[in-house]
Order: sequence, then structure tokens, then C-alpha cells
Amino acid sequence: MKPLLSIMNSRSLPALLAAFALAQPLRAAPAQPAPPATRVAPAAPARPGPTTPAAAVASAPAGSGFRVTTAFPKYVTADIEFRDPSGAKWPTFFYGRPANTTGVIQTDAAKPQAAFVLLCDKLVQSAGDQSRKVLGELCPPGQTPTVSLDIQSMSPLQAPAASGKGKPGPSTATLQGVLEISGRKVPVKMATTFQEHSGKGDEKNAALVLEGRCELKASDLGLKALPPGAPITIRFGLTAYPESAAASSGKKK
Amino acid sequence: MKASTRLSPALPSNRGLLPALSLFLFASFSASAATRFDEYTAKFKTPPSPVKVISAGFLGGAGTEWLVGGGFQPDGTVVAAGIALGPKLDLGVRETVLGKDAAITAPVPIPKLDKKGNPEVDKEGKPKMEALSWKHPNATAFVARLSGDLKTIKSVTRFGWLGGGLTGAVVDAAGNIYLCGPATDATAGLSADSQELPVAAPDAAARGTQHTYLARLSPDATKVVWVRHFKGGSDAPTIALDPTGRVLFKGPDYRVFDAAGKLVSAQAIPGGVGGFVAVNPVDGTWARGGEHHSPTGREPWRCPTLNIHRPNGELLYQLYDWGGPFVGLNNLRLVSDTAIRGVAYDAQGNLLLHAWSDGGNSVALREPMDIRTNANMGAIGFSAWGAGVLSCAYVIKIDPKTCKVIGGTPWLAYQQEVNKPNSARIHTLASAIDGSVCIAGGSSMGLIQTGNAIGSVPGGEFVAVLNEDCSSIRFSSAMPACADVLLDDSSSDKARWGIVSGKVNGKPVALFLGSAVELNTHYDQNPAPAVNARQAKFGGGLADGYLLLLDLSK
Repeated sequence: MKPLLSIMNSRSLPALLAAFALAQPLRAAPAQPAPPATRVAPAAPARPGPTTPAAAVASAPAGSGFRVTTAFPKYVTADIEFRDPSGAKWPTFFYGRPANTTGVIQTDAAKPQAAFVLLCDKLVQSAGDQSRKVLGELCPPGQTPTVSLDIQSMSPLQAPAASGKGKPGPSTATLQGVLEISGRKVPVKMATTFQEHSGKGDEKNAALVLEGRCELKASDLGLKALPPGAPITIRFGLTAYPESAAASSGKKK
Repeated sequence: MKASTRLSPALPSNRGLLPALSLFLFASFSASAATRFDEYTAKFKTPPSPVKVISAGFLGGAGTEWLVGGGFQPDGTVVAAGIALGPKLDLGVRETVLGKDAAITAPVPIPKLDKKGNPEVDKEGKPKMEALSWKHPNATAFVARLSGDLKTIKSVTRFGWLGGGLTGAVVDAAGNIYLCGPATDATAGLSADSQELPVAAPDAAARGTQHTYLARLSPDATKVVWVRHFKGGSDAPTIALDPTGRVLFKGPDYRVFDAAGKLVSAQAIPGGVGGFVAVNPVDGTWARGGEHHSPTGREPWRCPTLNIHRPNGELLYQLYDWGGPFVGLNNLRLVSDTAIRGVAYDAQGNLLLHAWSDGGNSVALREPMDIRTNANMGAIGFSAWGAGVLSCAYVIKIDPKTCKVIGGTPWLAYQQEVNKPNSARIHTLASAIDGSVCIAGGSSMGLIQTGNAIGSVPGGEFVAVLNEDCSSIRFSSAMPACADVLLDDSSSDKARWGIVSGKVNGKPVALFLGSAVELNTHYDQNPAPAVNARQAKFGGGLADGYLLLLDLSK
């Protein structure tokens, strides 16, 4: 039997993914939420500093299906950060994993689909005085609020714009859903980039790397330490995996 | 013949082509073969705002001695304090002895033992010897006062043999000399004004000594004005002055004294004060650097820590401590093992630290409270691309109000034949009177030396002076045969130099004090550099003191 890793790294990956996408029934798209009050931040290209150069590969092919599941992998795949664009407050970083085993992303142009929940319940640098952080007032000592992002739909995937180096940039789409923090639910539209990863480098699995951004106001999050209209930018990151990788849970990391 | 004659004119053309082709190929090869070692060495051949070497040389007699700290008196006298192991201190000047001599024998190298108590041997089967350190049983403090150019010894004073060791020395604006170190039973008798002060919460983790002292000497070093001593576990005690002239003493705990020896405050610091702890002289907050193991989920990872505490010990800010799972995210992957290895505050309260990583992919290059923002650390241009597993050092200056990096740089060596970085470590760090950042450490082959360097082979022990925001190098030099002795072993990067800064005859200066042996044993067999030296050659024993005095005037 051909080793799974070889299959994952093979050139037949797009076809393989398409096959899986066809074979796996996707969760029915939930009803559209009420029109969110949030402003969609322009999809920012992956920032060259923090991203792993080895992960820069061709954009996700249409017709690919990916799973967002707590069952795979065992390491952390999701993060959500809150940032004061004025820089007056320090950013607040949360990380975690998918909330369940049913999350899916379908990048097929004919039937784009995103339905997953990220549960980011770990606050970094959680000790000490949090008051200088943008969400500090929601993070009393010894308590970490749970942040979740429930994505319910996505717009059609936009073809990548050619980058200056002749390589295609990431594809883009808008994800819609609900951001929940400390029990407060806020509808969001996240301008999101989709970048396929080939399985070379630190991430040994083929994967789809998402980065989404939107902007809210301080009052949307119930923040009192900032003016109600002060903008707060929100960014999430997620690595999704083809069904084949998710199915290998227990055999591979 | 004719044909031959006709053909011959073509040869010069060929000969002309060949050199041209060779030149082209050579130029192409040279261009492609140029390494960052070449690039940076050329860049700093004429450094901006270079420092000038006033003097570099030995201070030692036939016995074993080394230097630890010191300072500058108002009349331009340079004070150099150190340790002598006896039974003689023969610096060519009759010394004043404070206290009574105890009987001691000449020191001999001490075999190094493994964890089972067996002697360690090197590859050739020869026994390894313990490095000389402040813990040596013979260690006895001495003070030399020298002219501003280090050419003349004005006086030499020492404690009676076994009267007390030395790990720190400073000089205040009035010329008073303050010493600290491990105490003995004889230390209390050095002055009529002697007090043992109780230690409420001694550092249980301290590895160095159970008895420490702080003493003030008269400006001419002929009298111990007062001595305070403390019974309680301590790493190598250190001493500093705050901007108002108060004496800041780190021993079993953290204490502030006035010039009269009156205790102003005492503060226990949980976990001890050795090695990785510094107290902000401006507001009393304190910083503790370190590391802990925090696997990412895919690999083990060493996570740097930098905690800022309020004076009462309460944790204020948790910096750098991102945790492995977060750093291991695919959109971060800053998984080079990293640790904070030393912290210090400058007179303005800016936090200086030096860090280590095992590769260039390190969180040390990001803001301590914002991992997704690059820190302001790239101006020198040292880059880590192409690095495999190696030791990479960092100098980082942080504004204590914003906790943002206001200056810094990676510090690396570069291979000379291949365009790759090479290892470097920093073990000593201090801020100079003009804000320049002084560092010392060890480097693999390929240290970037400035044009004003006094070393030759670019490897081994080095000292360097960076400008205020670490955006340029004012001085960088290998220091062969120097810094064998451990002045402070409480952090994993054991300090081998003392660095003091002040003014001599109106000029801002930095003084590096340490040790030297006769010939280098690593990288080359050169002697220690000697520039305008009173003593250009090794005096004998197991080590001599060594002084490097730099003029920081711009």
C-alpha cells in the first residue's frame, strides 16, 4: 500500500481532493444570519514576516473539499486575535482548535461552502495585569474568556490576483458567521484568504490555510475602556485538512 | 615559417582574451562567493562613531589574580577591583592590607569532577580542570587605583588573605569605593562600623555562598568606612548605583543603602535575585528573564520568559511567554528554542536583555507583547538565513513604559568560506554612560570585527560596543587569551567580564575588566592584545587581571 504521506504529496492531489469532495456529503448550509453590522476588512495578503515561506504555494483549486475537525490533527490549528489599530492597546491573542468533528470547507466555485466552529479558549500571556490589552477588561485575573467563531457560509471564491513575482496569490472569499466572546454574539463577515499548502515543510500534511479579517467597534464587544466607536480589528487563522488526512487520525499526527 | 608568422598575430589576441575572460570569471566567482562575513566586515571596517582604545593590557603579578569591577573617581583616577588568590599580590607597588592575613597556600588547578565524583578527562585523556571562579577558597579582594590612561598604578589595597572575596565594585561621584562579595568570618572585622543585617527570606535556590558582604572604602582605599554582612544563601552578589547615588545590592535579597551604610529598603525577591533578575533603578519594578519547556504539539520547544514585577513582587506583565502550542501554529512557526539569558536596566530605566536561540526562526525578533509585529532590531543587518542549528544571540532594549523594543540586533558570526551564519553567545551586557550598549561573549570563527578591533583571528572571546539603539557597531574585537575566569556563574551564560562606564577627565569611557592568560588556547595561540599598556605581558600564575579602556567620545 502506498504510504499515505506519499499520496498526500503526490501530484494527483487536486483530483484526489475533488474525489473526496464529491464522495463526502457536506453539511447543509445553515440559514443566513441577519445582515451583520460589521464592516468587512479588505482581505489582507499573507504578511511576509509571520508566515512560513515554505507554505507559499499555488492557490486552492476549485472543487476541493476540506474538513475542520477536532479529531485531526492533535496540535493547535486555529487562532483569533483582537487588535487596536491605533496601537494604544496591546493585542489579545487566543488559540484553540475546531469545536467539533463536522466542520467543512468546500472551495468548489459552483457550490462554495464553509461551515465550521473554532473554539479558541486559550489566552496567551494570561498571567499578570491584562489592562493594557485590547480585551483586557474581559480577561480578569485567573479567568480566560472563551472565544468562538461560528462560520456558517461563504461567498464564491475569487480567483487570485497575480503577485509581482508571477506566482498566483491566495484566493479570497467572504465568510459569514458569528463571533462569540464572554457570551456576547456578534455577526461578522470575514474577508478571508485561502492558500493551499502542499505538505512540504513543517506542516507535513496537505492543507488549506485560511486567514480572515474584519473590523468591529469597541461597543460591539462590550468594551468600556475604549470609546464606543473605536475600531477593533479581528483576525482569525485556521488550517483545514483534506478528508483523507482527517481520516488518518490516530495513524499520523 | 610564413604561415607561422601569419598565425602569430592571432596569439596576442587570444592572450588578451584570456586575461579578460579570467578577470570576468574571477569577478563573477568573487561576486557569487562573497559571504556575509566579507560583506559585514567591509561594512564595519570604518564604523560610524568608532570608539577609541585608550589602553588594553594586563594587571597582574607572579600570583593569580583577576579583575571584577570598578569605576572612576572625580580626579580621573580609574579604580580596578578584583580577586587575588595569594599568597602574594605583587603588582609592583607596596600594597595596603586591610585586616589581618590568614595563612594560605598558592592555588593549584582543581580537577573537574563528573556527577559521580570521578575526574573528567579531555579527548587526549588529560584531566580537565575547573575554571577559576569567584568561589575559589583563596579568593581575596584587592583594589588598584590607576591613572586615567592606565599607565601608572597609584595605589594597591587588599583585604587580609581570606578577608572576603569580590564579585562587584562601583565608585560613586565622590570617589567612594563600594565592594561586595562572599564574606568570611574575618570580613566583619574590617571596619569598626560593622553590622550583620538579618535576611528575612534567604534565597533557597542560591548556589554560591551562605555569607555575603557590602563594604564602603575611603576614596584612597586605605580604610573600610563601613561593612554590612548578611547570612543567607546567595548567588554571586552584585552592586550598582542609582542616579541619586544610592547603593543597590543584590545578594540574598535586594537592598538599597545610602552612602553612610544606612539601610533604605530591603526586598525579598521570590526565586532569588541571581542571574536573570534586574531591578529598575527608576521605579523599583524588577524583571526576571528565563525560559521553560513548552512543546508545540509537533516538537519540543524552549519558550523564553520575561516577567515584569511590581516592587511588592506582584506580577505586572508577562512578556515573550507565548507558549509552544501558539508559537507552533502554521501561521507562526517561530520554533527555534529561545531563552532570555540576562537582564539589566540602564540609568534611565530602559530594560536591556540578551537572549539565545538555537536558530534564526525565533520569537526574539518579535515584539515581546505582540508576536505578529517585527521588533525594531534589523538596522545592523545581521541575518540568520541559511543557518542550521546554531547558537544565535540577541541584544534587545525595551522601553519599560510601552514594553516595546526600542533597539536591538541579532548577534551572529558568519562563516568565512560559506555564506552561512555561525554561532555566537553573549554572556555580559551593560549600558554605557552615553547610552551605548556594551556586550561581551564568545564567538565561533567568523566574528564580525570593526576596523578599530585589537584582536586578529575572528573567533573566541569578544567584546563589542553598539550604539544606543543597537543599529550600528562602534567596536567589535576578538579578545584572545582573555576571560577564562567566571565572574558570575548564576546564569547559564556565565559572565566573564565586568563592565563599568563613566567619565575620565571629561570623556565618556567604558572599562571592560576581566582576566587573561599568557596565550590563547582556542582558535589561535595569540597573547592578549596590548595597546598603550602599562603591562603588555602576562605576569604569571594561573591568570592576570586584564583591562580594556575605551573612549566613547563621538
